[in-house]
Amino acid sequence: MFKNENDFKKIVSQLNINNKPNDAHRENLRRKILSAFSKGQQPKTTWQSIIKNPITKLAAAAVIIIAVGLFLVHRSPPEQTRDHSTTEVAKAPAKMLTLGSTTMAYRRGGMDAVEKQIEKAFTMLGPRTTNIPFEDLI
Amino acid sequence: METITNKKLINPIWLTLVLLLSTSLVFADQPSNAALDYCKASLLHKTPDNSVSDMIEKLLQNKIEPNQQIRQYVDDNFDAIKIATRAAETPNCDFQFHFSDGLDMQMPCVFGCIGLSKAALVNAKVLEAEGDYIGALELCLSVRKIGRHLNHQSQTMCQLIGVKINKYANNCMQNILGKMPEDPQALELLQNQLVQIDKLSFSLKPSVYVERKVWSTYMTSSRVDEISLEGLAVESFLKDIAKERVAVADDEFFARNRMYWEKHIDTLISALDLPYAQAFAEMKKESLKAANDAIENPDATLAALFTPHVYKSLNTTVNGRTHSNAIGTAVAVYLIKAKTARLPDTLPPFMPKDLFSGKDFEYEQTDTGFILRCQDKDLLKDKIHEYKFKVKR
Repeated sequence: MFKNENDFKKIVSQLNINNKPNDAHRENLRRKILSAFSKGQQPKTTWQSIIKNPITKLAAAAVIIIAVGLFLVHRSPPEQTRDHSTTEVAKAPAKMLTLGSTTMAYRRGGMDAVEKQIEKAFTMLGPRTTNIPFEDLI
Repeated sequence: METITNKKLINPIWLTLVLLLSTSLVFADQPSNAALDYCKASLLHKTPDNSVSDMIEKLLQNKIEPNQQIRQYVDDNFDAIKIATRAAETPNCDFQFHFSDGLDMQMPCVFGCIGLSKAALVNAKVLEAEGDYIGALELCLSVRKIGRHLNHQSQTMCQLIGVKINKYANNCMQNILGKMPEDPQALELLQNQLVQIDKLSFSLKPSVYVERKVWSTYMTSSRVDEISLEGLAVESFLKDIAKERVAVADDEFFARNRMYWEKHIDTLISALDLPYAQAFAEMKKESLKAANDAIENPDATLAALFTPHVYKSLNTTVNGRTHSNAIGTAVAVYLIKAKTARLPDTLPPFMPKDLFSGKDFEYEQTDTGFILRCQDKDLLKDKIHEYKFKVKR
């Protein structure tokens, strides 16, 4: 790039580089640096100690997960006892065919409601085996 | 000498008699139970998918004609239909209900009869479309016999299903009668069959007695919670009252509630002996009384919740049986037409009655045939039922 060193020196000397010391700038920079150091040395609050400690972070997360889990468990419906309501949601087909269930359906919606419930139950029960090849039995 | 000869003969004679008796027992018809065959047929019944199910409903309402999918459904259920219609001819039918299971009692074979009956009637519609009216009517009669089996069980839901099945069969027959050629012999056979089917008297009393017992078993501190209030078709304020009272109830509360319940049911049962309009009014009044009493009287709490609304069951059964009677009357009119080439001016004597009024049906000739009309209202639906019959010109 440069044919000789003298050319290089000449170009550099033509650069307007301000290399004079600037006391004001130096003082400003010194203040900033000292300020940054002093912040780093301030004592941490308890909350800061907790959230910065990795072990306590893990413990806090575990507590939150357990709390949410307990909340969800208590909100979910109670364990199904034997009852004779006719709510259709998640009803086993056998439950839909009991005397109690069909009686309640009749009282609410007449024979049309009973027929719909029976049809749904049989559809859920699905196809039954009506034929087994002899080879499968041997 | 003579004694020795006699003794030698006795053993072979005894042996011969025993052999003959055993042989006859082997080949004798064993008494059978139609319910068992209904269960077999239910297991074989191929439940239709939603689209075919919709088509079947429309076909049975005479809104469409049989198509390829419907015919395929009939083919798929050939064996189920055969066994069910054979079972319909069996005199004895005992579903052997386990009433001790209370409201958990299962009746899958009873419910399966709905699907079987529809399958048989779909088969009847296919035969009707092919012009085989006699074959179609035979299948309708078989379904009426299935309905009869269910009507004579001591269980309300079973009886109501029998009524529903009969209604489907009656609708089918009503349509066929309007299309089939006039055939006095066939109509006479049909008339005799219908008289035989409807000969047995029908009553809700045994079923209501059973309900009285079954629900009473839940009126204890240990079992009352098995009844979910959510499923009961009663006013919400009654449910609230019941919740509060049951929460603090003692054995005395339940004992008094059982006593009130038994008197309540006895009143409903005694009303069943009355003519329709009176029976309906009395039963409805008694059901409302239990609900009103429960507001001030804790003894009526459970009766108000559990009351079986027998007036609705009464209405359903009277409606169904009146339709059956209309079909019986119509067959007599068609028979007169077949024999004399004209419709009668009035109904012949001794016809089946309109059960809403207890009187003969009103008979009116129309351009297309004739109408049989009830003489009193259906008090639940607030309408007067009429049954239209077409006559082939």
